[in-house]
Amino acid sequence: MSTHQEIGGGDVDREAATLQYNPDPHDGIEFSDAAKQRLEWLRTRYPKDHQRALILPVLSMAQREFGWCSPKVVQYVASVIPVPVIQVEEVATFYTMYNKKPIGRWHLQVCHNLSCSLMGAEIVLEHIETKLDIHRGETTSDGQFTLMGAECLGSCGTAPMMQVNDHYHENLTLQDVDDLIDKLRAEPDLESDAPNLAFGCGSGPSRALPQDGPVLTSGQGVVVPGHGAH
Amino acid sequence: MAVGTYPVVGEHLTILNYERGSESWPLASYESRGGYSVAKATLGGSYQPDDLLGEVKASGLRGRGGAGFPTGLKWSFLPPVDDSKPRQLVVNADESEPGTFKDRVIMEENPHMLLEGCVLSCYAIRSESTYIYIRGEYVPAIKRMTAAVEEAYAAGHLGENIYGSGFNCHVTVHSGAGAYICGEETGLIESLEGKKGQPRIKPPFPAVEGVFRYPTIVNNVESITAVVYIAHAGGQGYRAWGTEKSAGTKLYSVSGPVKRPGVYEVPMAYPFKDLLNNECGGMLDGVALKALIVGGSSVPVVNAETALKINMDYESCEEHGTLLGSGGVIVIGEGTCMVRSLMVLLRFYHHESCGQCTPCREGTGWIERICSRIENGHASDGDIDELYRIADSMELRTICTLADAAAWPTKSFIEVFRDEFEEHVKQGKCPHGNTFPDHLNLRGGGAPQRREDPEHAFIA
Repeated sequence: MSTHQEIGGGDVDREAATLQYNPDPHDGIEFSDAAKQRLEWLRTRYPKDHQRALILPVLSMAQREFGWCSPKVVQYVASVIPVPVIQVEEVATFYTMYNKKPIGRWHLQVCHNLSCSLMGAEIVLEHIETKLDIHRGETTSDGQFTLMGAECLGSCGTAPMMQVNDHYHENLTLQDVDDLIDKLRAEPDLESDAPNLAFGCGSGPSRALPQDGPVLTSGQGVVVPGHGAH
Repeated sequence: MAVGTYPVVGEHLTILNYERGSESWPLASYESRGGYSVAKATLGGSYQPDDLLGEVKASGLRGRGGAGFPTGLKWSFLPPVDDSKPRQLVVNADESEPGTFKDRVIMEENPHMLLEGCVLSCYAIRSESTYIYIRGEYVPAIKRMTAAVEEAYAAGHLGENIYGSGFNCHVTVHSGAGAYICGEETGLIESLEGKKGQPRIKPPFPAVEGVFRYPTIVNNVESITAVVYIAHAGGQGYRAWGTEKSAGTKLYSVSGPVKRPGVYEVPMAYPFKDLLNNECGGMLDGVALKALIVGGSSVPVVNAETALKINMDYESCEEHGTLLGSGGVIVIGEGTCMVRSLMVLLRFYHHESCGQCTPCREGTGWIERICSRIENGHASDGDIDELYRIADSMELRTICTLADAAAWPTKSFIEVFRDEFEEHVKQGKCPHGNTFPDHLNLRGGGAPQRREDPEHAFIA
């Protein structure tokens, strides 16, 4: 299966050449032990012959561990599942939550879809652009903040809102925005840096699967770290 | 005939039947209001699987994700049981329709009711495996559902041989990674399999060949959650509310310049006027109702006059030229530029087109650019008709309905507010100065409905 790594490798290299961030900071990366354990557990959640289903959860986990989905991260994810690199590359480029370039310490995503716009999202966005002196889509020169306009984040009743990393901040006023950004700037450790692997990676206690068979027929539970046997 | 105990709070609260803002999500809290008693009774023999399926059919429950397809009928499309192809239940929690946030409230505030619904639904369709596909941005919902799944396994509500009945039910929470198109059921299935979320050509329908090529039922969070009450009260019991074609209760997520935006459960056929004035406390002071998008951004817009005649059910919405959709009610206030509103929506559809079908991939870009031209004062005379024509020719020509979802608002915005579009072209600029009204400081007519809880605000 390791030959999978070479398939489509050329595409990834070409991508790397077009990236300004060179060399790729993710040479020789490896998952932490916790992530490796989680990977093994994830394998049990999907049928043996459909391990491609691991791509989204494992790529999400990789982004949490390594910060963004560089070509090396994509290759690494492909090699551990394992699947052809192109399959991971497809996923990494299709979904908006995978960052294809480095982002700031704080990822500010201001929803600017209709419900939020009706309640002032455009004013909030412009306010932050002025405050941080960047346009949406850019990162501050100190690497602290990346600002994005986001499409509906399901917080329409509490608009305007902004997602900062994993957290929703709702019912914002411009004063709230100022206070929040000042607080984040002053205390970069406010939110723990430790990647929380449980997010964006699927969850639920494990179950064993028959070697090649369907998902459902087993009776033997596998003990997962942090869970009891069932 | 009541199976298990299940309290209805007020006159009609079957899903949001707890004190909003209280700690309603832990297992103990759910059990204290009758939680899992319906599953226990059902697995204990109150229903055979086919009987339960019959009740769901009889209830008239229609898919709450937006399409409104009868849930029981969908279930009955499954081919005969084949052990080599285990049936799968997939819960569609990829709630991304702009204006819709009801599933988020269910998952964050009442996650165990969704899980009980999964157990019951799996029993009815003879599946032992559920995937709950939650959009990746919903971190608090993923967290709550994950914790609920762990609690339910530990307490024996999920797993092998539940309540000694011999029935197994496994639930896996799977998170997406940001793609509106994964709310389309076959797009979701592709995504769950680890691919780009590009919808499949149907047939085969998921019931025949779905995730991992197994027979699969994909249902919205609210639909699956509603199964608990249906199992409790029976199909006819659920019909205590609503009309012949729109039975039961429905959750609406209301946004826009109203005093108390938020999620409300009301019976089907509830007048929009009452939803606005009673539940939502009316419009913000000084803002008059201008227009209404009743069922998420994809449905046709209606003006204030029509809006006030609408009853919140499938027939009444259709009668007034729109659709109930997902129940994402976007209230638009006087002073809002409708061209700019449409431009914002079209930017969304252009961004979210999966790129598979040409009419959608190209069309969403074209209509966004034309609309933005009109909004920014660069339009020429034929642009409004061109916009309408392109939208019209995108409809019914693609694999999924994303193109239609972009076309419907486009056409209806032009039909209902054509004079505003013409004014933009005539003046060569946006009469509203390319902005939305500043409602930021108007809010405060009512306290926000949402409680402050630690997962929503990390700054103490």
